[in-house]
Amino acid sequence: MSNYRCARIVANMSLLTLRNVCKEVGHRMLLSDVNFSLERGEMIGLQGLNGSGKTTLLRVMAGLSRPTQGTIEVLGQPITASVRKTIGVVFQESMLYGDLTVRENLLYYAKLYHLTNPQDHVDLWLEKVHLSLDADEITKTLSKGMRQRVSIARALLPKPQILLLDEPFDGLDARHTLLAESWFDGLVNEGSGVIFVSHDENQVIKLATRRVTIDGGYLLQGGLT
Amino acid sequence: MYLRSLWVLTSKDLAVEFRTKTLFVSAVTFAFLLLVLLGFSVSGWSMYEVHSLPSVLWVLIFIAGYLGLNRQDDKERWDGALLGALMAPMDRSVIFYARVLSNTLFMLLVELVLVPMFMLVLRQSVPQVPMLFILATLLCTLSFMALGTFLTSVASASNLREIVVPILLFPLAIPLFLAVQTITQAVWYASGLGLLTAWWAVLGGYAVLFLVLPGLLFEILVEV
Amino acid sequence: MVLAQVRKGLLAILFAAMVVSQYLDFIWSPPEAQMGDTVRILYYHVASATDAFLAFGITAIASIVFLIKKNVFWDRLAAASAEIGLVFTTLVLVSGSIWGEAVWNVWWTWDPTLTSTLILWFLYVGYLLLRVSIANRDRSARVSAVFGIIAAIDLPIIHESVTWWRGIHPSVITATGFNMPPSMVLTLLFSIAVFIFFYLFLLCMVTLLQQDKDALDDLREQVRKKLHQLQNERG
Repeated sequence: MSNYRCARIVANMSLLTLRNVCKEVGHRMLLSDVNFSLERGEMIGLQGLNGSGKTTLLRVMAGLSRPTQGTIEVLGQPITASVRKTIGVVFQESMLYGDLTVRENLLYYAKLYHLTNPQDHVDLWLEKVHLSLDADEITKTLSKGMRQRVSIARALLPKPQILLLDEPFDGLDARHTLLAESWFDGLVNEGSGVIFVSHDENQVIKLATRRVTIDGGYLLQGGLT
Repeated sequence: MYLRSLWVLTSKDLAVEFRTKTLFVSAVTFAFLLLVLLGFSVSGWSMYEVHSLPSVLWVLIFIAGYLGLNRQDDKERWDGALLGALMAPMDRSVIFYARVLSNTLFMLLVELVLVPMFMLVLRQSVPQVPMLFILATLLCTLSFMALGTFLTSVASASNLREIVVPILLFPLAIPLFLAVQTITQAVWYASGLGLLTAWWAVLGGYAVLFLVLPGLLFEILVEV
Repeated sequence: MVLAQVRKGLLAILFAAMVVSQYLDFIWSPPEAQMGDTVRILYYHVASATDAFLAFGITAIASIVFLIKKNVFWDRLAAASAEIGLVFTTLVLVSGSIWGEAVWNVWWTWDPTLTSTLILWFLYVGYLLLRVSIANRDRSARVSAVFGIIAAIDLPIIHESVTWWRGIHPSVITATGFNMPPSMVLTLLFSIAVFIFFYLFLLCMVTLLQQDKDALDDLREQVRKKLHQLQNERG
């Protein structure tokens, strides 16, 4: 009985909830009283001008930056080590080691996330992002777009339930943009939630189930697109 | 789980270093150049004066060690590599311990090259109590690297890192330096070994202090 | 307004106390039998040293409280104390050096206390450099607090080890103890008291100054935001 109820609660629980989150750095209020939740199966387009607080918001959501006030809950829990494995990010930084090969980088992340058979996971993703042939190249030597593909593979390797994307299609060619879109869609269909920042209005219209605009640290919730 | 993450991070550092060898090469080259300069300035010294040189070895090692720390830090910064580790599902103190471990291993390798060169260039005999010398070297390297890794994280957000890290590191490392140079001098000529208890305590105490405290404080330091 | 009144009052008392202190230091107290007038440096030297160590202690305590309470006040206090502490530590070193030249005929000696003070000076410089070179105010506060605590924990170890080190290499120069007549003791104690008062006064002022600076920055930020808003409305 109690197990059944627990399961129900988890199923209904938001993936990510922000309550009255403020982030103040120095004298700048980067986020003011942000209330927000991400549900399963949502793909939220986050929009805003330069310096409006998009990146800060994503960093706070990822647990990289602690809010000055307010709470963040991931699956109803505060962000701790064990909760972090459900969060995947593609940020402006690729988070890769320049001196390691593509394969070594992915293997490193697969192991950090304690995946079983890390080698297989890595091979699979190398295939998916069309980098099998370049797997043993040093990451530093890759082009921006290739590095972005590795970064996406790195984020998707552990099958995150929450995916935070900061301009994920930056530098990708048309073919790989479509591919990446389909992977994100796939995750959403399996019950994950995605928040993505994009400056491309058409892409937001095409992908987002809901859009949210941030302006001067204030979140303006939009409707369905 | 903790140990596995520790090993994943450490082996990654080792892989990076074995690929590039920048840390090893820069530390050894720099220390060797210093050694040669030192060789010039002591060439006219009497045998008696040359006897007090073993303690100078640690000036070289400290400077080389600082250089190595700097290199290591640069690699973590390239395209946000450190952020990836911060996002990983593990206690963040693992990152600190893994760095200390890999830095210590690198530095021991550097010392393995440097100490024989030191004996050769400055006409030094082999230490008379080698086991104690090795023990002191291990302890001092571990403590210095723990302290250095910690202070590198402390200063990581500073835009004057190149000057802030040494100015934080060297004053705090003075007890370590005094301890290891006194011990080295004593074990090299096997004299006054009984008077060293306090210095061994400093070496051990530093290792404990700077392995425990930063582990507790690391989370505070790395949050953006 | 009240604050300005209080400040004026305190400043007047401080000034009077300092005048008295100068009189005691230079005129009233007798010259020492062996060192003569040189001994007068001592009143400054010891008093500055008291302030320097007091300031360092306050920085450490304020750092701990800041990490627990997260209240900016404690960060301001820690920073202010360190700034003042650096000034007094510099005074200790300079007066110590002059003393050394006059009494021992050397500008610098590796006397344990003097050496520890030099290291303390470096720690202060490092602390302040670290603080100003981190752009993110919160991070700067957090990181400096951590360093402030670590440095305070390490300082006794540094002092002990420097003392042992001198113990093993017997120093040529040992501090010659001398018996001070009561008049000198009184002058010294009075100097110390005035210096502590001076330190506390400065601490309040610098902390308040920092608070005003922060308030000004806040205001500036609000104006910036308002202007942006207006621009957006017009655009």
